Amino acid sequence: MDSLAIILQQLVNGLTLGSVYGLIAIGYTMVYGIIGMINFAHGDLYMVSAYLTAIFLALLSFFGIDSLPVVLFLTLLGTMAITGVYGWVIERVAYRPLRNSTRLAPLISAIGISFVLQEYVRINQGSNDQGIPALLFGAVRVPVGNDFFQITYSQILIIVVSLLGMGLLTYVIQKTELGRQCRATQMDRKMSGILGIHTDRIISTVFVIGAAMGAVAGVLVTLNYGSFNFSSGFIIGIKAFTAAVLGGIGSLPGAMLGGIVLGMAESLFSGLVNTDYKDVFAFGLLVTVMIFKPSGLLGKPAVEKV
Amino acid sequence: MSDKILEIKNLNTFYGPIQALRDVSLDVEQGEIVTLIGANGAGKSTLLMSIFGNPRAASGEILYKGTNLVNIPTHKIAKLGVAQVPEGRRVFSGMTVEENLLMGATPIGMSHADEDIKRIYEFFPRLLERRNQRAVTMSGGEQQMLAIGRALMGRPELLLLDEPSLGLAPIIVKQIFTKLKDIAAEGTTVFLVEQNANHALKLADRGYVMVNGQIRLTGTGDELLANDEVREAYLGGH
Ligand SMILES: Nc1ncnc2c1ncn2[C@@H]1O[C@H](COP(=O)(O)OP(=O)(O)OP(=O)(O)O)[C@@H](O)[C@H]1O
Ligand SMILES: [Mg+2]
Repeated sequence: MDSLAIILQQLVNGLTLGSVYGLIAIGYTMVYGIIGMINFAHGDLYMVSAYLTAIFLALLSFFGIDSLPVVLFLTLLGTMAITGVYGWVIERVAYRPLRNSTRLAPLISAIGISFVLQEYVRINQGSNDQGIPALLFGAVRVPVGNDFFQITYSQILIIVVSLLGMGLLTYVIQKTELGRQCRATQMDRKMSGILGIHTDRIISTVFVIGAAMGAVAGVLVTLNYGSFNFSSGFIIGIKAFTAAVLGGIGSLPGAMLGGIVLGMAESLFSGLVNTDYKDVFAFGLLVTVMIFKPSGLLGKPAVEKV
Repeated sequence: MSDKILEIKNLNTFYGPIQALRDVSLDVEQGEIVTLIGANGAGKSTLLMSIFGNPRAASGEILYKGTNLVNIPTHKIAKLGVAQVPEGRRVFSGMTVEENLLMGATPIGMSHADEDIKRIYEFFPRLLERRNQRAVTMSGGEQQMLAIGRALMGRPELLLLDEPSLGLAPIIVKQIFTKLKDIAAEGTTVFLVEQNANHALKLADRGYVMVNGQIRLTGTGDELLANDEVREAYLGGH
């Protein structure tokens, strides 16, 4: 194969993978930004959203809805909504009561919730891989010299929906009153309360947004790859967390950038060097960035919160 | 109803086992400028923060226009018409000047925000020049103006300020205090916490002196300026 074609192909694959990492990384980074905890259960919410995708697809087909755009839209919306509710409940039940306790307590609670979600799904859905039939077929082929690379329609869907989702979220955070309140609460929660912001509600909102963005990733990946099981959230969760740290944890654009950089790096390494060591390379990249820029690509140097 | 806008009665506040306020009682009348002076660690900031329930008072009453604030959630207090310019200003450093001002409109909603921002820019022309600059890049005096502007965006009836002169050059302090006088003249009641006793007592109608979490003295600004104890402890004995 033409090596330019390989590089272009891996860039397309990397952008696809990276958009997914970026979407999931948003949940880690926003929650960290606002309450300073790593939500270890976030990857499992992604997994729950994969099951919800399958359930929605089955329901819609049961009701005879078979227009592809309608099916995709309703599945996306429904899965985001229900996963958002999961995010909201988890914060209320497992994290908020520990808000004023030690820093470690909510982390332990998050690990507990991660097990709870996995076991809950395993017991109810079984431990075998589940799958959905492919909905999107075909690809666009782009000739390069006397070779070609291709973008499948699923990849186009993933990239377009991810970038739209990230763009919309960026707009909300940067330009709307809700977004300003989120940023204010992240910067100085006490002052935000004094200004009349219901900071507990903002924290809940951030959990819902994070879960819903993870759900977008869950829907898209499930549509593309078809198969998943109760532990599907683990590896991808760790990768997305890595992306969030790489981009600068707490920074929203950092999470998106970190996701795309990580996805690209992983794909290029797989395509050009070796597939077996792609994870070693990905984490090696993280370590390298951390050495030279400990706060991540777009993160601000850590300051003590008052 | 009395014309007392703020009436604090026998307030006690703790940080864990440490009692920071002891039986504090004071009042502020509608339209007055009242100042509270005291040394480092006297409990001045604690008093202002207690009004916003952070920390919560252990006992006593904080009556704002007759409503007891002690058990009202923090985020609902600004909506009643109280605003605070906190110690250290606490502007949102990553936000622009204009975004900071918009945050101040939270208690009353955004419907008057455009017209109010214009008013604030007229009041502090410096802020207009810097409207798109991030707050963190501004000087201390500019940040103080921003913190005051932000508080005014909520159209408060009672404005609480915690050491607005802290760390500022004398000329800037003078400007800020002149602005406070203007704010009061427009009908906002001002409760000013200060260590800069000389300036504060000259500006204020009345004052209180706090020592170790307790109110030690009270009187008009002029009475306190003439008081030996105040001169000794807060005015460098002159
Ligand atoms: N978060 C806190 N936890 C424990 N103790 C505190 C806390 N904040 C203040 N204190 C203590 O409460 C007392 C009163 O502090 P406060 O900040 O109210 O004083 P202040 O009069 O505002 O002083 P300054 O002029 O230095 O600002 C001090 O002894 C202080 O050490
Ligand atoms: Mg203080």
